[in-house]
Amino acid sequence: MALAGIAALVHGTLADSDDYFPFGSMAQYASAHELDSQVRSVYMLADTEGGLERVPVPLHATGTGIGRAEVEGQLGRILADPSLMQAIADAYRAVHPDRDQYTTLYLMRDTYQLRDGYQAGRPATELLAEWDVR
Amino acid sequence: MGRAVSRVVQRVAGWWTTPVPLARAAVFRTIVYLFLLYDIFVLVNDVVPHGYAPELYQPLFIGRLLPLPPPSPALVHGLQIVLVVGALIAATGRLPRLAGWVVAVCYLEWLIIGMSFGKVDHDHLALLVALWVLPTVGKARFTDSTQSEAAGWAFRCVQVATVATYVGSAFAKWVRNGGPFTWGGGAVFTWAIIRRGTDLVTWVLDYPWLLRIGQWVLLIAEFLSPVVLFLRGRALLLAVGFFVSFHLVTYLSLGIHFLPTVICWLAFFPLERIVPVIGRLVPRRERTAPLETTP
Repeated sequence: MALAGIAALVHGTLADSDDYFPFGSMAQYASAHELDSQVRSVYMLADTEGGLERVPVPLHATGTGIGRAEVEGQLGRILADPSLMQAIADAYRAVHPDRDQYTTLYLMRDTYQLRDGYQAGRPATELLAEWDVR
Repeated sequence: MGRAVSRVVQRVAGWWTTPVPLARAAVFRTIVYLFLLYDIFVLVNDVVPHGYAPELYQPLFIGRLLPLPPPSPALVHGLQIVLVVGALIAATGRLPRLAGWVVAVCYLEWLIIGMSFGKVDHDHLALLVALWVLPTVGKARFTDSTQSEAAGWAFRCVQVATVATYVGSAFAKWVRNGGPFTWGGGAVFTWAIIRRGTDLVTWVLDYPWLLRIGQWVLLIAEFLSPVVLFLRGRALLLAVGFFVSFHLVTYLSLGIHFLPTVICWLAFFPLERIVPVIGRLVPRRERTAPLETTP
C-alpha cells in the first residue's frame, strides 16, 4: 500500500500534473521564471450597488470563496465565457448577503517586466474582461 | 542473488515497521484530529463557499474517475458537520477505526472540492496520509507503552509522506524546467514576492542575487530531505528546524504557511513523553470509581 502511494506520486511528478491529486506533482512554485521574463498578476475590481467604483474584489477563501490562483487557473475558460464571472458575484452574495453587492465585475491583469532579475518600471495594466452582474 | 534480494526486502519491511509505543500513536492522533478542525475552519475554508459557485467546479482526475457528487451547499455543510463530529470523537481515542475511516473519507472529499476550482495546493499530502493510516493502528491509550509494529508502520508512512512533500517538489522543479538545478538560477522568488509579497519583504526585490541564493539553498535542502528519515537526536532537530523555519519565513513573506505539513513533522519525535508532563499539569479529577489495581 505504501509502495503504491509512492509509485502514484512518482507517476504524478513525471507527468508534471497536479490533476492526480492527492498524488499529483508538487508543482507549486516549480516553474523557474527567467530573469528577463514578465510577472503577471490577475485580480478583479467591481462597481457596487452602493455606488462605489472599481473596488478590489476579495479573491480569497473568506471573501468570495474563489481564490486569485483559482481565477488564474481557469483564466482561459473565463475569457472564453465571461458569464462565468457571475458565479463569483453569486458566491459573494450567498456568503456575505449583508455586504454591498457587485453590479459590474472587471477582470484585470498587471504585467511587470523583469530585467536581469530586477523589476523594471511600473506594471502595465489591462482590462481582460467585464461582466454586468445579473 | 535471490537471497540478497529477499534480505533487502526484509530490511526495508523491518525498517518500515520499526515498533513505536502505542502511546505515541494516541498523542499524535489527538493532535492530528484537533488540527483537522482548525484546518477545515481556517486553512481549507474555501470549501463551503465553493458550494455556492458550482459553475467553476473543474473536477480533478479522481473526481472524474469516482462518481462524486458536484459541490452544493447541502454537501459542503453536511461534510463539515460529519468532519467536526468525527474528528472530535477520534481525537478522544474512542472508535479509532470507525471514526477514523469516516473522517478519512470525508476529508478526502473535502480536499477534492477545495482543490477542484483551478488550483491545487500540495501542503496536505502528509496530513491526508496520516488520516488514512491512523485508523489502522486501532486502540491506543495515552499511557500504553506497548511497542507496536502497526503503529510503527503508520508513523513511517507519515514520515515518508512528509519528506515526499519536499523531495517531490524538488523533482517537480527538475521535470518542469528540464534540469535538476535550473530552478535555482531563475526568478521565481521575485515572481512570488511581486505577486503576493508582504511589506516585510518587498525591499528584497532590489537584491535579486540574495533571492537566488535562497532558491539554491531551498532546492538543495529539498533534494537532500530524505536523509532526515535516518537522522537522530540533535541532527534530526536541526534538520526539522530548518524546514519549519523555511515555512515560517514563507508565511511571513508570502502568507503561505504549509501548517498541515508542519504538523506532520511531529511524527519524527517521541511524542509520548508529553503524557506525564500533561499529567502533572492537569490536576487529577475526583475519582468516584475505585482505582484499578491491575497493572
